[in-house]
Amino acid sequence: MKKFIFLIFLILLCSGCYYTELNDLSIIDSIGIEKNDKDIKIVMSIVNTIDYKSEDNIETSIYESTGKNIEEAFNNFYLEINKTIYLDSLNNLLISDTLNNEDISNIVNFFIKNKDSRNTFNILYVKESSITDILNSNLNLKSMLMTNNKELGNTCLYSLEEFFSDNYNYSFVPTLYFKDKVIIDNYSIFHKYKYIGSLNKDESIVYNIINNKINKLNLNINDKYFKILNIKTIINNKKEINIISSIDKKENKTYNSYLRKNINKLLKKYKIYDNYNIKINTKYIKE
Amino acid sequence: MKNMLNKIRKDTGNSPDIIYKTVFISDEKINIIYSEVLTDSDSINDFILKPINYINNINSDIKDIYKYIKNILPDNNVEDINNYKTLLEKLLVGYTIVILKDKTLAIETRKNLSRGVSAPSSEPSIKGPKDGFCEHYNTNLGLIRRRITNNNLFVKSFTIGKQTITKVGLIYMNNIVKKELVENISKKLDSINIDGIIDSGYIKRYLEEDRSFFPSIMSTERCDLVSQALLEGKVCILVDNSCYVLILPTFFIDYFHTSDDYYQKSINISFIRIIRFLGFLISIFLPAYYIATTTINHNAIPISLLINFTAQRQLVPFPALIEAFLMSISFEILRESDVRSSTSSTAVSILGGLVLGEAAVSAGIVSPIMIIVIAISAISGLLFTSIEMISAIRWWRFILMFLGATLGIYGLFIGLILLIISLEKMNNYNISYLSPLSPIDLYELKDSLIKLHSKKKKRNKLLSNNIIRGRD
Repeated sequence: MKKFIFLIFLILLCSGCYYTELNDLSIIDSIGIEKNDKDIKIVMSIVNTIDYKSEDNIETSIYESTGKNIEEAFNNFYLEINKTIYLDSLNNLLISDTLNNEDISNIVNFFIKNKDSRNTFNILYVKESSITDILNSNLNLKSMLMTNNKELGNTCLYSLEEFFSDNYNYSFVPTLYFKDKVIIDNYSIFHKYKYIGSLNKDESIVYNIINNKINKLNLNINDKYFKILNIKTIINNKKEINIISSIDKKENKTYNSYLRKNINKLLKKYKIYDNYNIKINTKYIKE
Repeated sequence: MKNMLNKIRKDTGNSPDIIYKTVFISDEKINIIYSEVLTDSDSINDFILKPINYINNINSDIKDIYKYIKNILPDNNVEDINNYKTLLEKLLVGYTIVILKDKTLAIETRKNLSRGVSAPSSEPSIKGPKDGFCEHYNTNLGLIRRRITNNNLFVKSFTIGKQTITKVGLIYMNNIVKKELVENISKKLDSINIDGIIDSGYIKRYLEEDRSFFPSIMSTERCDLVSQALLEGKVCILVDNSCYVLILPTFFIDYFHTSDDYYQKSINISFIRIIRFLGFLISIFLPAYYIATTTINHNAIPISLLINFTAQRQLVPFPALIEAFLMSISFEILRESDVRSSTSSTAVSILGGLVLGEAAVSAGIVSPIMIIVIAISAISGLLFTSIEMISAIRWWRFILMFLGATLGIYGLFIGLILLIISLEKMNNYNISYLSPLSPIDLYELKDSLIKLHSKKKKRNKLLSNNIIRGRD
């Protein structure tokens, strides 16, 4: 009996730290981080579970907190909402162009080291816009990114984990603007967490094609619409980039020259795949 | 004689149901004593009073009236009584006592107080035989003998209960059963020292070798199940005045089987058995898993579901564990009242299931999802006919709920390991309770969680040394 009581006591002792009722949970959808003077400002969009109606109609509330660094900003946030922050549900992390490379490095390390964070959430770079405005628009950023990826081919989902592992190479982070509406149509490039420039929309599409991040897209070249299918790129040891695809119009040349022009611009800009030969093989298919 | 009558009156507390009648044969006084509640008056009239009257009518000169009466009585169960204790015993089981001078006869005139053979109420048969055991020992034994008309069906008789003096029969197939098992159980039955046995359940606790929540002895109303068990090499215990026959030893897997399983196609039975096993797992683990995921391991459920659960729990003031206990206990109360009050069970179901459930959600005492979880879990537990199995599932559900709330999914795994250990180490007459899963018996596995289409030709070697079926 003594053993049994000791066991119950031990179980109760071990358990307390991780116990959180659902009522005490703040389910985070997106976190935006920007710099306000010298302070770090965190903007969180939290799922409004009290007014929850259906899965398709999830409303969020926006909360803000500031601190000298990210840790302090998070602590202040805890004190303000008095609930456990559930980071596992995080879909998007928005980092503002007001942050410098040291701040971004701290932010990445904060999430990587946080055991409650899944780190598979998307990272987006916000340029010349207010994060609060973006999150207040209550848009599903993840779904926007996925639609862009499937239809336009200009961006794709990019997770914090990928951002962390690409740290010493080039990181291509989807870029977000807010000008009356939210726009995500190109990449910003980072090297060692430092912003070094951005691609335009066409270069972003070509980057995705070279890296096999898309296999179909709807393309607008000089106001002509093309449907490109079955895109596959093979980069071999002979320093060759072979791009194979199918097109729905008998205008292969227009498409091929578009590809070649933008690939050259991309490679010239960022010195990746130096001295590689580009081979483009495009087939016409009747839809 | 007068002294003896006074002694009987005194020892039976001058009970009004004991009738004392005096008749004369050729001026010889004969005392007839019987209990009017236990005896059949027609039998007394036809087999005792009429023959005595006949002797008087023929008016012959009889030298030894006692011997004459004993021979003339047309009852096949007439016994000489030599001591007072036996006289009382016979009187109180429905015999009529005839006292003539210093000699005493006991004549069986028992009234049939049994309700007769009827369909088993707690284990309904879908496709099998419909006859179930009743409270009459001989009828029950007859039902078994009718199925197994073999001289190897042995019955060992015991009388247990200091006050009730209840007849208990140990039944087994002599050519199949392991002798050590019969000896072991016989010894246990011999050593039972108890006031009385009202039902077979009274001796169950003396025969159970383990204090586990799970049952090691099966009690059944179904004659076909008992016959199947006897042919497997198991031992059955029949108790007078009980319609439940005990089967022992049993395996864990036996509680997932029914005798109906052998009257239908294997493929259908396999499906049903898998459903039963899933029901067992759901019943034990579902509330615990729900508590674990909503209190500790939130990341084990998809985000959309988590948001849904959180929205439903917003107004609930209790922790998930308390909420689950409240609902489980409410269900147990409803079930108990449903079982006990058969006349108003439908009303109880409607009131409990619909009105209280709906009202509890509206009042914010419980969340709708918790009602769903507990209802699914409780209904899954009712897939079993054995009440002991249902109770064991209930206890383990509570244990796992506690472990889930304190240690999360890690606690569930600890609970699962504890469950397997407790089943594995169960003391079950030196036979593994988890057979054929542990130790693995490939042949027996064909008729375990699934039933393969094969004509079963072997018995379980743990139960019998005569493992080939169809051999004497």
